[in-house]
Amino acid sequence: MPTLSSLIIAAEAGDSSATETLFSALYKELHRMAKRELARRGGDVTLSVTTLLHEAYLDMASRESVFPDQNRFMGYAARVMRGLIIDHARNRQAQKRGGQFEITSLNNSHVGDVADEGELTRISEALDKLAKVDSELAELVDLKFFCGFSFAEVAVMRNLSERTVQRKWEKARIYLHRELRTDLRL
Amino acid sequence: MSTLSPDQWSLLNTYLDKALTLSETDRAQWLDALRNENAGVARQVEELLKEHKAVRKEGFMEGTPISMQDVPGLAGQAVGAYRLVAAIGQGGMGTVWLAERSDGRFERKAAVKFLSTSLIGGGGEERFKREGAILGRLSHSNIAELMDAGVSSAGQPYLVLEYVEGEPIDVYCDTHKLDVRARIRLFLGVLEAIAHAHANLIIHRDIKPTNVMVSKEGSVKLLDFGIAKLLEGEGQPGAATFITQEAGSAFTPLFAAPEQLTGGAVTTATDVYELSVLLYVLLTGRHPVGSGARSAAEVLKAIVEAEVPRPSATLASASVDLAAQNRGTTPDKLRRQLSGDLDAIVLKGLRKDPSQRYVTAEAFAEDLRRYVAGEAVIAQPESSWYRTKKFLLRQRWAVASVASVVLALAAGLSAALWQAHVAKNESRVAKAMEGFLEDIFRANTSSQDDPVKARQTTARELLDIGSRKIDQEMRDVPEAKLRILSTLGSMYSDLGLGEQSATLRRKRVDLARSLYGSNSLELVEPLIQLGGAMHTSGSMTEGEQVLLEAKRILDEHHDLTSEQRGDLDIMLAQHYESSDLKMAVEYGRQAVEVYRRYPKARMAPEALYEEALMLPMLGRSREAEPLLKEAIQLSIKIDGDPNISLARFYAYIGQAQQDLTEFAAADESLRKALDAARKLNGEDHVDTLETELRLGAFLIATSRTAEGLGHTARAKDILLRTHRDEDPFFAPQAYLEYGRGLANVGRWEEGLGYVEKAVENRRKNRPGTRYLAQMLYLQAYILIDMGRYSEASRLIDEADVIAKKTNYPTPYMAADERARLLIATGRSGEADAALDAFHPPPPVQGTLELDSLRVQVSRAENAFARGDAENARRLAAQVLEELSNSAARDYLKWLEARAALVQGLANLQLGHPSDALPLLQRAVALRQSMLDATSPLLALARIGLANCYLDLGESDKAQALSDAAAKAMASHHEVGNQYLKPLKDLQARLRRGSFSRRAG
Repeated sequence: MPTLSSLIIAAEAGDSSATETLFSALYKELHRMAKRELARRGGDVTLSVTTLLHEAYLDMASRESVFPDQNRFMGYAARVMRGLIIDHARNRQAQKRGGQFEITSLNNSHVGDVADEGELTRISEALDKLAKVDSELAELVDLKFFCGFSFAEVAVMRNLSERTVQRKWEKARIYLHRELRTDLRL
Repeated sequence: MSTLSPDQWSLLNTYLDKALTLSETDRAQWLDALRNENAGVARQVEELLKEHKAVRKEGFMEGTPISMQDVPGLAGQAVGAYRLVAAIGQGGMGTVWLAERSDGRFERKAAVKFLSTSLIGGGGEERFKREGAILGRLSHSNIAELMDAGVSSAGQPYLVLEYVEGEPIDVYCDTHKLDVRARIRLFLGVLEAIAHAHANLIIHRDIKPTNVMVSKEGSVKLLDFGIAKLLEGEGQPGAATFITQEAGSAFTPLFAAPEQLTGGAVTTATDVYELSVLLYVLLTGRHPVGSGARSAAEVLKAIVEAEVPRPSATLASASVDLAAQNRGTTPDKLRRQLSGDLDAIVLKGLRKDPSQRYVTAEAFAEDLRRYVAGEAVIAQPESSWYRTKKFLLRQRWAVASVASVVLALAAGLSAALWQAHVAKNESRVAKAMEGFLEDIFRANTSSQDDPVKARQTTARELLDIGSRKIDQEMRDVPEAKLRILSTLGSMYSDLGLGEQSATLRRKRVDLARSLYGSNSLELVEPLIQLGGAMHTSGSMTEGEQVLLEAKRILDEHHDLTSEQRGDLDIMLAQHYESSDLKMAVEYGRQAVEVYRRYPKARMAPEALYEEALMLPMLGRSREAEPLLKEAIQLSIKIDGDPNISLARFYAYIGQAQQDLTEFAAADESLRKALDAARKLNGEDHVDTLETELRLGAFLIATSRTAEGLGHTARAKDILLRTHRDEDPFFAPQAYLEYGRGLANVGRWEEGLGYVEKAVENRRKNRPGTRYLAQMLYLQAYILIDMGRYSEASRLIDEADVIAKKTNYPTPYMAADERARLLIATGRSGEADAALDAFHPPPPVQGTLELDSLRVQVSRAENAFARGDAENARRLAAQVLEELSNSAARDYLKWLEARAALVQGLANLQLGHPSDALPLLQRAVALRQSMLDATSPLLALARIGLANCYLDLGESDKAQALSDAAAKAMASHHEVGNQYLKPLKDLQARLRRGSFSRRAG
């Protein structure tokens, strides 16, 4: 099993099978960590994705002698996180018995949240299309929307000004909204 | 509108960047400048900026995806006036809890269902409560009461329902091993409950075994009435009904009706469909779309498109023993019990077209009661021949929405708050649509004091209200209006109201045009839909214009190969089928070309068939056969063997083979067609009868008149039992073939009666078409025999005019009867010229040139009538020579008899009675084998033979024949002089006792 860092390098060089392996490895790691976190905390608590990612990075980096910096890592991790979140939403709706992540009850309010896996999937597909056209914008959406990084954090990670990040975010939203509309129109 | 390509995006990207940094006012100026520089780009940028505005307004993606967390316990919590006791299961819509009243007032236990949906703001809560109140008013002993509906402070909706203990109906029936009749009786209880709900304008929408519980005592209780509708919330109307699924199973909408999947209107007929599926399961233990693991997409496709096998046929499987056991009977007995009426009843409810089902649960129940009482049921099998091809096409239009439904399905549908928040424009649209459709079906309850009167408002009236409303409303959501117009148009069409459907579809086209412009691809589908509607209910010219406009747009967009183009080509082929054969063939061919790219397309075999259909009429039968063979192969590949279309394809191959004089092969094909139809549908099915009709007509034409008449008679009887007398499609065919058969064997008056009915029908329904022309020629033919010459002449003229207008080449019959008419009216010299109007198609290698032979016999007759016996003899002898060398001889007795007769008569004329004798004997023998004893044709042959005997000195034989001929003639009211004169002359000869040669 190649190291994560070598996978990242190969993926960046355009090796698609390396990319696949990288994603599934990251998925496993993040999933495992998320489960562990939730089990540890128990009860009625929200898991912070950004915290999870940071911790994941530290965890994985510590296991290898050479590891890419956090910024490079985050791009891939964020993409994987997107998949994780959507899968989670799907599981929730399939109402698996004894699932660790079950739907909430009466006591929570989730104004502004996305509960619907269908919508998330559609956004994800639109994002994949956006990635082909402008990969930077797609990555930004993964970081900001799915992982919850702030504009400031993203700006640092990508070495851009905050205003630029904001403007890119607007453009991404325009693209996605348009895609979803195309999709909806029958 | 389509996805932006990388190039497009990178171009617009820079402009967008600029635009986003500018303030509102600066932006406007900048845009102006850009417009002058590059109008196209400016327009696109503007569009994107508009998009941005919508994004900001809706707060698109401003929230976060659901966070991950654990679920705390709920027991003991209060929900409205109830307190949760324990979780009793995971229902499809959410967790179900047992609850009891927290104030301890009643002992009655309740079930509380939490719905996995959130409804905050947007009026969702009020709607939910309002709907809940309406459902709560539904009170019936067989319906589980909805006691309360509420929404928690966090926006989670819940329902408080009557707690029902029992088993799902299918399990109950199997555990108790109920037999078929007992199951039906139980099912009738279900129907009564549903009928009650329908009377209150409430549609269940989600009928399946787990929603139909049976208590220990055997009484039925329906659950979850109309709940699916409650959950639609902000989503697309109609699409919400599949979230109910069993715990652990995939999202398979096994019980959904086709229109629910294709975004069509949900009506009482939808419930009927679901009820029929339930009945199917109860009777056979299997599901109409089969069992076994299937993906949601496959199931959807099957429900929308696949033909449902008859319940009795579906028992041919491994599980039949178990099924029989559970019904307390043996497999054979079970099969027999189900076949026939029960098959028909169940299948009627499962029609894809809602208007073809029982429209209400009450009608369904009535037919079942009739079955139980042993009376005749109303359900009749559906014909695939007439299955409105346009309906098939209409299904295809809706298929696009199936994909999005699959998506929603795979995700499960819950009106997420995000969705409401984000897609507010969509939600506005969806709301407008939903409210609109809601109003249509609830329009009268509020305004009517008398609930009975409210119930009697027909679907038609409600649709009319709807279409009046659409004019004024929904001005600000034109896309929604487009969808509604389509839905309304389809609903009218489903009710068989073609005109209204066409009107709405016209409005839709106009609206699309004003929204998208006259050259937009958006206009094509509405146009094709409109063209389709007009195919059956509008003027032909208008329909043509509409389709041609669609064609123009596709042409301008250089779209020559999309499936849409293929569909348009088929529509055009169908359109021209009755008015311009050459165009029809051309379009058919184009459709075939297009569909070669989409080999799995359902319409592909139809395209081949459509093209092949017309070729024989243009004398290109040779080309038709391979096309039809290909269609058959393709059809078998796509739909399996046997399938609904096969009988039709075999029949048309038979037709093509007949045209090529490959009679043995045609015989085989037509019998295969009948076999296929019988195998799939049973003896009394309309498709079986259609094939019997064709086989019968073929048999008559190829001299097996008795067998043929039997088939056509039987076909006609049953066709008329299952269809109305004025049916525009089957009745004329049946009347025509039966009438033709009768007339051919000599039962003229009877035959004419039927042919006249056929003509009348065609005049009404297909005026000016070649179908009518064909019939007119036949009618004239009979009239000529009867001596009604001027009538016949008028009809031939009329038919000729139509034939010319529709590019329909003069058939042999038309030319021949003109000639005979001329002879009968003493103008034999012109007869040959009349024959010239018929142009036999160019000879095909290796086939008997049947048409040429026919013409030759006609010319022989003409010659004889002119007094040119020598030529008559020669021509006829050639024909007989050819026939005697042909393998098809046995099939062509009509022709042989005619040729033998004229040659025999010519020989007599030339003074060679001994040469004439065998010929005339043959003519009589042949005609006797085919015709009725009263046939004047047979009499004519006898008269010829009698004269021959007289010439040979055998007056006894002559007398006997003369008497027989006279008897035959006397049995008809009207007989043309061409028959009477020979008889009179013969009788005169006999009286004279002269054996001298007759004067010419």
